Amino acid sequence: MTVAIIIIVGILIIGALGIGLRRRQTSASHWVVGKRDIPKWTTWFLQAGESLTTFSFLGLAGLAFGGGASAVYAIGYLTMAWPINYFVAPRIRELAQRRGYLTMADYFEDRFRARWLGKVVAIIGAITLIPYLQLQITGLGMIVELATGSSSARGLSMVIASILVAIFVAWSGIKGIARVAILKDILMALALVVVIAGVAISFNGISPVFAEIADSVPTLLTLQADGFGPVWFVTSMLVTVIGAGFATLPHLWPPMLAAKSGEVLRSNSKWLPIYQLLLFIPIMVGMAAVLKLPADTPGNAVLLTMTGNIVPDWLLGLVAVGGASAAMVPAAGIVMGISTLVSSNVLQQVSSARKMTVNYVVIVVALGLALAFGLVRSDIGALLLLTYGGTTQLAPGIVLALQRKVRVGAWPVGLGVIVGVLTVATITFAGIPTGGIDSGLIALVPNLVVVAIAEAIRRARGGTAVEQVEFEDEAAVSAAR
Amino acid sequence: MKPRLLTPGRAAIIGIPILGFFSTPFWTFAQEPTLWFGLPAVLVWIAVLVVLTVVSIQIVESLYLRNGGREADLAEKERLETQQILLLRLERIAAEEEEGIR
Repeated sequence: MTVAIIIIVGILIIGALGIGLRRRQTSASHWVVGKRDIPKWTTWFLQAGESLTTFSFLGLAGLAFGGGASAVYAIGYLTMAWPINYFVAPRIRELAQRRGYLTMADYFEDRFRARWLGKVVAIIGAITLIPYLQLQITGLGMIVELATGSSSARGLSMVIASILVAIFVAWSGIKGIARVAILKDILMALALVVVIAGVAISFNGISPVFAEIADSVPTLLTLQADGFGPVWFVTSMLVTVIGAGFATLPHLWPPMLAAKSGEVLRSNSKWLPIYQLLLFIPIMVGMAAVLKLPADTPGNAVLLTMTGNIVPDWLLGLVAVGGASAAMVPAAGIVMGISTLVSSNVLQQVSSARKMTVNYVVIVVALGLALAFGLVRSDIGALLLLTYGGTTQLAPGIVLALQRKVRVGAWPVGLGVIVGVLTVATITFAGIPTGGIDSGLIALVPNLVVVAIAEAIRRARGGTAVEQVEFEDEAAVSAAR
Repeated sequence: MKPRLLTPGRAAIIGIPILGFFSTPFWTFAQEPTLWFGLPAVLVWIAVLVVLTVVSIQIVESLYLRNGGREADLAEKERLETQQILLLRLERIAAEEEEGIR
């Protein structure tokens, strides 16, 4: 009961902090990107959001429990994404500031001079983010259930958290998300330190854990565990590096577009890899759990079950609040990403005055759907594969549009995206075996082939580079005001 | 003219830790149970690569700043206000629709 009360109070505090502002954000653009002047540290916490999520809390420890050291692939891709982001993010922000983008779809629409392409990207982005949203809500419920042992507390916490997320995102937009993101990272770091300290105390240090693993299950110290071999390791890292490095998930864009300057983004990219060192904690806890928990323990239950065995109830409650915050912040960012894609790109005829109303409706619908799927324990895991694999298909378009002169036309890029997404969907829903290679990576091949062929045809028919508005022209317009 | 952030030399510097990450499964210590300092060798290796990544980006950043990046950062601060950008965006869309580009 104590644990449940601590968690519910914690969730309420997180929600209240998110609402925070006395005045509601009424401008759609300010709601998404503020005044595009968010400073370094705030941007840091917004950008770091993707590193510490429910996956770090539940999934990573479970992965280490089953696959041992192979779980470090997550640290690999999250780290490698930053050097790529160092080069990509300032360019995207620069274009966004000059041309007023609010979403990833705006970027496609403007750079390829095709409204339809923006709509296609927005629809794919919005649909593929729903399962990711559900993952966060379900993860939160799972954390509460594991910590309290009560399935009713699970449902109640999911409902409360979803309502709070809807309210604080609608009310405060990116500024509210930023405030909660700061609290989330502090809570997560504290929770992880508590957990690893508990493990160290119960094993009389960390080294004895691995000495014992070396004796009992030595394969866990290698990258050769069953189902987690070198092919899985390399291809999983590659596809997720492409996704994270080129920001193919649409909800990653508002923090980039809202940053004060390119220098802020470069500075964060320089240091954010260090953050990934925190992720060694759930991996070590997952490996230690092999020595303490039954082999049939569900992967997602590993970290909190271990924690429950080694710390007092009230501390377990605080750790669970950290986990809940790790679900609420990404959920808030995702739902804002979905609503902006719909209000700005899918329903372009909506007047500026009505945009916020559309945003509110989409927030309620998206969170309602995710909550409903979560409450009935609907398995939309296959759809989640579409989130990663599907959005990875946007990477070629993002890369091609970074250059000053966009040489490839909208049709080749759009066809490539559609073929790529259809390939991922076919592999996923038809259950085609891929030998451990991610479907998103496989689908990039037909995607790129279609882009190349369609572009060759376009050029043969006299197509040229996409006409761009020069920045200098806009600067002149601005100066003349 | 704005200085280039991505050059072949800088890509090569960044490529070193990236190569390290992707080569991980092929080292002996990742194929046989190995402990370094009482920890799994793979974990220690990855931690070193994380630090190496930070170092490599710092080197790239200092090269960029020394080659015109500092001046470019200062120039960027004189930027358009959000409201102006929004107006520009609306004007752009309207103009493009008139011209039939969209």
